[in-house]
Order: sequence, then C-alpha cells, then structure tokens
Amino acid sequence: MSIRVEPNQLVKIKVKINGEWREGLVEPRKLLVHFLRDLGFTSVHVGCDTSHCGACTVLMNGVSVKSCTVLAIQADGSDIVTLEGLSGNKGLHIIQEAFWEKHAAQCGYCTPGMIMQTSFLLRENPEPSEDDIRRGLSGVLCRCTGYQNIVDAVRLAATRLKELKSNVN
Amino acid sequence: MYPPPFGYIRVSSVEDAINSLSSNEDAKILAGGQSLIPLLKLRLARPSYIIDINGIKSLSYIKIQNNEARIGALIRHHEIEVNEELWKACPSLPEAAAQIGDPQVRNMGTMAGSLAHADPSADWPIVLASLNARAVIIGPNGERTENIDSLLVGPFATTLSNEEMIKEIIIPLNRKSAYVKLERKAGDFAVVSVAASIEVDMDGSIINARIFALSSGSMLARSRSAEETLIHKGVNAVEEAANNVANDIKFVDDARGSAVYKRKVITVVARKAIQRALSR
Repeated sequence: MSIRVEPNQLVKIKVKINGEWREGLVEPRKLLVHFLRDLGFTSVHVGCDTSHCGACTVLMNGVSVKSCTVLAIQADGSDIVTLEGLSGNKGLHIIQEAFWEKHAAQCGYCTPGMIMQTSFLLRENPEPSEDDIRRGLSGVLCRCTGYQNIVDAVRLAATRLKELKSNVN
Repeated sequence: MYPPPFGYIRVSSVEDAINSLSSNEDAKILAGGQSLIPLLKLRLARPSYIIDINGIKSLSYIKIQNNEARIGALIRHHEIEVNEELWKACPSLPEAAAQIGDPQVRNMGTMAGSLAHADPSADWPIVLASLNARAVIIGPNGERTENIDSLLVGPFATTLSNEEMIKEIIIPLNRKSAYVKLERKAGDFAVVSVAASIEVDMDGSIINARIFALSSGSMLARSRSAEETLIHKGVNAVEEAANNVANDIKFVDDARGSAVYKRKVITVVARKAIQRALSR
C-alpha cells in the first residue's frame, strides 16, 4: 500500500512486537531502535549509533537486523522479535540459559544482540563449527569477554536445541 | 545522531517509484538502507523524501536462464550467499556476498543499492565489473542497459540521473570466477581484494580474462596487463599475471595498511583469485 508522509509529520504505524500488535506515532526519521525502546523494549540497546556494534539486533520478519539501521516506518506491518519475546513468556530461552551457564555475559551490554543474532544463526545453521559461530556473530561487538565464553554458550545452545528437536520428533 | 527530517513515500510499483523520484527533487531510493541510513545518521545525506521500494514484490528474484543470471533490485546479499544454484553457476557472486559487512547487514543490504551508492570500497562493483555484468535501469523515458564499468564513473558517482533507479543486474554465466578479499577483521572493508573472471575454451586455453582490484579510493581499478598475460601465456603464467596486478594498481597509505604492504600482499591475493577461478 502506498503512503506519503511529509517531513516532521507524525504518522501512525502498527508493528507486531513479540506476537502482539502495537501502535505508535512516528516521524519518518525515527529509527526502529528508538521506537522499540520508547515502548519499553529496553533490551534493544544503542551501543554505537554508527551501525557497527549490533547491540540493537532484533528479528524482523524472521531475519536479524540492526534496529538502528532500519526506520521505524519501514517496519510498519512487520513482525519484530526482541529479547523480551524470544522465549514466549516461558522463562529463559535455551540460548539465554546457555549464556548464563557459560558465563557469556560480562557487562551484559552486547548480550541481547548476541542472543538475538545467535537465534538467527542457529536457525540457519543448527550445527555450526567454531568458525561458523565466530563469523555468524561478527556483527555484534563485545568489548569485555574476548568472545570465548560466548562461543562456548552458542555451542551449548546448539547442542540443547538439537536434543530438544530430536525429543520432539 | 537522529537523521535530519525528511519525508517518506512508500511505493508499490516501479512506475510509482519513478514518478516520485521525478516529482521530488533530491529524493532518494531506500532499498536495504545499509549505506543510506548510516549516512543519514551522520547527516552526510539530506534527502527531501525517502522513497521506500521494499513493498515492490516484483523486484525480489534470482533467475538463472539462457546462460545469464538476473538479480532483482530487492535481493539481499544473504539471499545470494545461500543460493546453491549461483554457487554452481557463478561462484564469485555468493563468495563476495558472504564477505560483505556482517550477517545483519547482509540480511538487509542489496546489490542494486550498493551499485547505486558506488562506494569505491564496496565489494560488488569490482566483482560485477569482472563478470562483465550490466544493470537494467528504469527512468521516466523507459529502460536502458549499461555495463557496470561505465555505470560507475568514480567514487560515489554513477551515470544514474535523479529520476532513474536500477531494476535488475544481469550477469553472463560463461566465465570461471573467484573473489578473494583480505580483511583486517571480519566485516571490515578490504585492505585489498581481487575479482577474477576467466573464459576458457574447449581445450582449456584462456580466451578472455577480466581482473579487477580494490585498494582504497580508486573506482574499478583494472589490470589489463594481468589479463593480457593470462590470454597470451596461459595457465602457467598465473604468478606473472599476479605480479602485473601489483604494477597496474595505485596504492595509498591508509588506516588499513601502507601502500608498500598492499603492493606486496596484492600479488598473493591476485594469485589466489586467479588460481581459484581456474580451478572451478
């Protein structure tokens, strides 16, 4: 559907966030990350504001994107998943548990982005090698851990997700 | 930083996109936005309107037929990276796609957008030029087709008028190809990179070669002497051709390395690219 919005004009957008349709008024220049944070989804972090760090990573229509490099108005009508919605209100998600157990968060600032990117990576590649994990997470920067515990956590999450899948089958 | 104020037009057809471009001076097309939105945030771009073409479903396709690949303007790098048919038909395309930016950028960014942006550090320009690809461009007066090496006239400069957009990219599939990129770290722009495409006849002799290199600043640097060496001296002259690349390209010192280092290392990168292309 075509629309036209003038500069500084506010327009109503509708976005499905973690399974629930939410509405908000935005200017065309508003970034998705700020739209999400204003609605209270504060797991979505602004780390760099230059599209490098990936702390703002969310899933948009099933693929991981940096929400600081998407306009909120672009996400009108789309399906967004943030860390708050990853487990679907069932406690911690398997990936979150693995990050906890492997001590993969130090200051924790990048962790939401790491976990959202991991969920995309493991869906695309359920059995990643260490190289696949490091490349798959190259769009999220951590300045504390040296990445080793994060890689271990992703590997543990991959194993558990695979077990879960084989139990279901 | 917040982007500067701009208007927003969401279109659902190519015709509407062209009409919006024609009637709004300084309007900009938004495809993946992975170059445009960072520029907006730095306030290096101040368009009057953003014309969002992501709703034009007819622009998302990869078609392989008649010895050509056609890639629609809304195909994301990641879709090229995981396309098994392209890995068989034209491996330097998915090979390059897999080395652009990082995974989140590749989920959004598009080949057509990268060409229109014409960043001299981008991977697509040299890869597509080496493959002798061409872009189909639409404007108010209809369609035109232009080769990538004439479309991109310099850093951030193309022959696209303000009323035109790239609709698709056509890549001939009669060549062996490879793309080798040297990065300081994953997701960075190249220190140097080389895109090689080679046409071989039934007896295995090289009948055509196109060798392009990327090294800070210059747009579409081509090594004609490397190409001639391969055509005249054949598959045993790969080392000599790789050395020719170093002689043909201008290098400058920058944050990614000194000119001296780049000149040395590009011979290795070029040799790998040519050998890998020939092995395919």
